Amino acid sequence: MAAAEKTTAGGPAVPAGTPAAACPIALTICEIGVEKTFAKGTLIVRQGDLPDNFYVIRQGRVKIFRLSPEGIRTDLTELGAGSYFGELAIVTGQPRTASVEAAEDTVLTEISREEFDRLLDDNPPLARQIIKQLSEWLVGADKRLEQETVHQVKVREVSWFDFILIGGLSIVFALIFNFYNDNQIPLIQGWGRAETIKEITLQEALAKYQAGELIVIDARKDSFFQQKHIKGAENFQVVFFDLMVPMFQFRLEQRQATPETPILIYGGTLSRRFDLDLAHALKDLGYENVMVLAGDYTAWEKAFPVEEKPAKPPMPMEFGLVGLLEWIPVSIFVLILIPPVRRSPYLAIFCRVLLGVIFIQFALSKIMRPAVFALNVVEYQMMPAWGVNLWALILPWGELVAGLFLILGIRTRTAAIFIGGMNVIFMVGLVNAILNQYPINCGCVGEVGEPVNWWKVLKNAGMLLMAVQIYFYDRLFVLDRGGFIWRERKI
Amino acid sequence: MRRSLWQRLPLGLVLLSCLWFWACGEARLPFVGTYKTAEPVANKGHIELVLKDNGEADWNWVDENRSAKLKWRVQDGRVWLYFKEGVILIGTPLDGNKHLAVDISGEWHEGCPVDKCINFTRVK
Repeated sequence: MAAAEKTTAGGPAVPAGTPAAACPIALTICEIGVEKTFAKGTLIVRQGDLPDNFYVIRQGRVKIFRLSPEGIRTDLTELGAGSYFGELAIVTGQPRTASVEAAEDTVLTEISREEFDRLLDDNPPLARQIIKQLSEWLVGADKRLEQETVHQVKVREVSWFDFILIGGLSIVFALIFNFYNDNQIPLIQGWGRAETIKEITLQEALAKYQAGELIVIDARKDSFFQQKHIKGAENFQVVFFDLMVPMFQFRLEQRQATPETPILIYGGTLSRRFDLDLAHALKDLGYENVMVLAGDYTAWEKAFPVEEKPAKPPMPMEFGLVGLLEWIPVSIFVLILIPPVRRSPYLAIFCRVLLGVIFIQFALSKIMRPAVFALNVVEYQMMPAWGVNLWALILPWGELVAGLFLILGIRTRTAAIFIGGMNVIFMVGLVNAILNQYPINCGCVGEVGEPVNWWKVLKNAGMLLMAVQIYFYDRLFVLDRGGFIWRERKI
Repeated sequence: MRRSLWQRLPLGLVLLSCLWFWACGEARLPFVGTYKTAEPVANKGHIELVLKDNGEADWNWVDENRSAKLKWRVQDGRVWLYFKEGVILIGTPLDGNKHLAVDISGEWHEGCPVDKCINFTRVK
């Protein structure tokens, strides 16, 4: 069947619906065949049946459509009076390639195979017209095949636009949400602060410390302080400062500190200058002689006598369903060993939904309170201080957008690359924390109570494998041509 | 079968809403009130903790005239206090919510560690 309306050759094109006028004299079609009437909705030709007849529409209209093995109907065209159908199967001898049903009460001339052959023999113009028609279909089919192949290649391609789309959405959502969020954080911690804190060299500080002229204060979190600190140092966790000011003052009073007493504050890291933050806070309280280490502010560990204890990881907290979901990616190692399963698009669907749910949950646990996550990022000590808050704001939205894209089937390969990339970053951070024995929370699913350990690395490795599987084998239920469709994405 | 983005959108929104509500905490109402430390802290007087029904909280050093703002929610029957710096204090209700033992370690523990615990009594 042609996509365009066909008319009988040799005669004038007959407008659709013209009552019985369609009987081109030159073709003498009216002289052969049997006239048949079909009520609206009647199936005239069934796709897959063996062909016996050729039909000319005398009156009415017919719909031509195909049904896929899954029962999906594709309407190809409608033909009106003067048009014909059924010639393709008659010529090729192949089963019917489409079904035809009466779109309204229709009168047809049914011509048998023998009559059709005779008609072609006696009517060269009709024969030429049919050959021309078939050739046009062939050329058209080639073009469509090429377009489809190009389209499918483009669908599977990962373009820069996709990265810009996911990254851009994440950044825009993050900034807008932070603007309206009650728990808003500054984009860059300490940006624009004038540094008025006195700096002292390591050697000078050590000399004063050995002479007992300094009060030494560690500004880090308690878990880090417990693990290692300068002998005799106090711990004023700067992150608790506003809550505990009187308590800190009391402890300074116990040490007979006056506003002029030299106070050395240490504990700055790449990700946050805790020492400077605390120094500013104490200076505001009236302690004028606060100072921090100049140069390598992390060098105190090697220069000063320290007190050490083995690292004490946070107590593990139960995370219920989410905690259980996180274990499923570990099982992917087993599935990946089975080649047919490994390549299955159905496994890709499973991976997409699971990764999507896990990453959306990751995101929701962080989005509302970015300060909590920012502090987590600081504890890993890998992100420069200027990037901590930006990372803490944007990453959860990246997780959310990529997770939703995976579940909804939008640009799944790019979303899988995003998520795989995040898994790699998480694994690097986790391994670094484990090797350095940082007593920190993972900050993966929950806000606290989530120790960093090798299991976390394994879970992330499982999720990375799932992302790789999606990248290579995802084919089903993808966004395509402006809509969501169930179909195999084959080239 | 072709389905439009708009047909799928509600499904996505419902999914997101479910997860959003799942991520939210439990009812705050049973814990709303004013709490005060049973004993003075560090020789600097009492701390008053006011848990408001809108999720905000005040941490007041009564005698020092100092105050800090927090946010709070309830999870697994415990009060989670969020400070702007990103630290979390977890309060364990005791004696039918008459007392609140607040863990000031900034970490999660089964209960409230003795050396990192501030005990509050409900006064309002």
